[in-house]
Order: sequence, then C-alpha cells, then structure tokens
Amino acid sequence: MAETQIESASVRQGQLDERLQTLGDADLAMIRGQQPDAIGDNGDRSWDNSFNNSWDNSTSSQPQRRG
Amino acid sequence: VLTLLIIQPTSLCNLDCTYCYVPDRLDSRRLPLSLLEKLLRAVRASRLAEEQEELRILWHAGEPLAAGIDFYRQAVDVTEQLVGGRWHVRHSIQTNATLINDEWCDFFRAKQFSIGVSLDGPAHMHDANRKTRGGRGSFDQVMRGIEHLEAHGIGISILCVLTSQSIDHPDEMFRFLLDRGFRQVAFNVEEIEGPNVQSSLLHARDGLAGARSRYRAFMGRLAELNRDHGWPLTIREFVSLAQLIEARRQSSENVPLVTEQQGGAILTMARDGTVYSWSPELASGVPGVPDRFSLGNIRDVASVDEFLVTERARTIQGEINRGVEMCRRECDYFGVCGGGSPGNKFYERGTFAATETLKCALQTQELTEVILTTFAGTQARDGLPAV
Repeated sequence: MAETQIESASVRQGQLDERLQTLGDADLAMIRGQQPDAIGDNGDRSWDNSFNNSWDNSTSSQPQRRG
Repeated sequence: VLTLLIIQPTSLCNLDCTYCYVPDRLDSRRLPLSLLEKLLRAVRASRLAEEQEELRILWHAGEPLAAGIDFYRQAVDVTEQLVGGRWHVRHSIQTNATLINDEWCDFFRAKQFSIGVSLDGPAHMHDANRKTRGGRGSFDQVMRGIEHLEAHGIGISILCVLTSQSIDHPDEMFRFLLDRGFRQVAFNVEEIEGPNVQSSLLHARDGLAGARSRYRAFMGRLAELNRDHGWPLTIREFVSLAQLIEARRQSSENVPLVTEQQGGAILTMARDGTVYSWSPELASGVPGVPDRFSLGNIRDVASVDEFLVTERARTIQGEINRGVEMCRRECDYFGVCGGGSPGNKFYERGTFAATETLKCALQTQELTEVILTTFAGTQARDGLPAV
C-alpha cells in the first residue's frame, strides 16, 4: 500500500514536470523579473524567500536546490 | 551557510494588528548592546559563515524602530567594528513605517538599509487589521512614513498580508499599487503562527477549499493585470516560484533546498539573547511556552555552532527531515517546493513531521496552477518547440 502511494506520487510529480515544460520561456523570464534579452543567464536576479515575513529584494544569490 | 541573521531588538510595537504572531508587544525592554556584541563575536567564531563574503542582518520584531534611532546608531557601529572587516554587512529592516521621519531616512541612507514596509493595500483593506493601540486604522500614518522615505529617494518593498478583507479585490489592489508607484511587492497569506491561532481565510466560507479558490482567483487576476500592463510590478511569489520552476524544467533532479529547513542557515536572536533557528516565526514559541524552540542563550556560548549540537536542535532537525521526506513521498508539487516551511507545519499540525499547510496549499500548489493556467501553451508562441 505504502509503495503504491509512493509510486503514484512519483508519477504525479512526473506529470507536473511535463506540464511545466509547456510554459513559455519568455513569460517565465518576465515573471522572474528579467528582460527578454537576459533569458538564458540563469537568473542574475534571484530571490531569497527564506523569511516569508520580511522581504528584501536585493538578494543576489542563486536559487538553491538539492539534486 | 548563514543566510540570514535576524535580530529582534524589542518585541514592543506601537500597533496592534489583529493577525500578529509576535508575543509581548507591550514589553518595552530592549536588547542590550552587550548581547549584540556577544552575538557578533559568536557568529565570527562560527564555522557557519566562514565561506561567505556577505552577512545579512534583518532587524525585525515587534516594530523594530520602537527601539529608537540611538540604539541603531550604536548597533550599526558595533556591527561595523566587530564584523565589518570580516564580511560585507547588509542591513535590512521590516517596519510598519509609522515612526519614520527625516532623521530615520538620513540614517537609512547613510547606512544603506533595505526597507520593507508592511502595508496591506488601500486604506479600507489595510485598516481592517493593521490598527493603532486605540483601535483606529494606521493607513494614514504608514503613508506619511512612506512619503518621508520617498522624499529622501529611498526605495522600498511592500509586504502585504492577504486576508479575508482583501483577497477578493485583485483589481483594486493592483490599481492601488500601480497608482501609488510601488513596484516591489510580496503577498503573504494570513497564517496560523504563534499567538495567531486562526486565519480569516480559513474561517470564511468553505474553509480551505474556499481559501484555495479565492487565492487562485486573486493571484491569477494579478498575473493577468501585470502581464497586460507590461509587468510593472515585481511580485515576490511569482518571481520565487518561477525561479524554482525554471530550475525544475532544466532537470527533474532539481529540488528546491529550503533555507528554513536547514539548522543554522537562519539564526534569530530575541532581545533577551535567546537564539532560535529554522523558521524565524518559531521565536514566537507556542502560547504559554514562549521558549518552546529555544536553542539556548547567547550569553552561554562562545560560538553559535554550539546551538546546533544540542539535543533539542538534533530532535527538531530530525523531525523536520522526516516531514520533508513525507512531502517527497506524498506531494505532487514537491519538485517546485522542496518540503515546505517547518514553522507552518508545527503551528498548523503540532509537529514538524507533517506535510501540507495553508501556505503549501496556496503559495505553492495554487500558485503553480495559476502560472500553468495563465502561461501554459505559450511555448509555441515563443517560437520554441512544444515539449
């Protein structure tokens, strides 16, 4: 039962990944606050969302991720 | 890496907002400079920040300006003396702006503070919850503070809490922000944290399902308006999530690393020297047990590293890790989330070993759907092959 649940969550995560690929690069870049000619630089202006109850827009660290 | 050092110089606040999660807001005691010095020495002695070039300090509370400008003059001097040669120190402050005058503006400019102002939208939305001690709305006072900042050429970010009074009015919110010249905006949802044990969003019609649909409608309309006006607003929630989506699109192996889940990545010190980590809201404790998540007092350590090897720290980290693994196993949105906020989990579910919270449901799940709904299919329009 537990294995089935893990498997189905994994499948659904994969389905979300497929849906994310349908987004337009230009729109995503604009949402990220980049001008169209900056597309592809992997995000000079990134955000630190580490404390939701404050906001400092000048953070310049890259998005953190675990692979 | 020590991503953020949060200092609460006082829990005192001149306002009495209905949803505030900070306890003791009538306590006027202030952080002694000797404890600030102790903190800075303990950070300098730590391995946490030894690889980084920058140290970010966020002054938060309560109303941090209630500590007075002389406190900050001394505090910034102490900081420069003790760690200015080691790191580039960047100061930020989150304020209600009601106490700001020309003297504060001169100080902020001189010390290059980043300013976040708490403003919940136009007067009737803001005044519904952000009230003075006398029970009146604080909108006019906030706007006077903002006008001082603007007159000194100081840019600000707006932090707006979405409540039941504002979430159904995206057009009015957008127009207000645009007309008033604000460009950097963040939208929190009213959350269950510390003494704030309920959210108006959950107690309105249809509970969580209603909150989901109202949030989705609000953010969806905001995205449309922003796009149709040429993206004048930079909205934190969209920017953050779009970055995570971009990383995920590059590789399905990429999962966000959430700072709040890493012990030591964020340290919060209260005005009495008590130190906390993980989600900063944990410094509020739980009702009746304010030090529920305390890792100890700065008086008792030579390095902040000592806080992270305590039994309590290990217990909390273990429980947080279990919660993240549960999210990985159960949640469709794990790839663009990374396992959520430990603070929200504890305050809503009573344990860090939990999964979905209100914040997850709205700011991750519904917002992902907003982005997908508003922008899906634009790949082909960009001239790029659809995948």
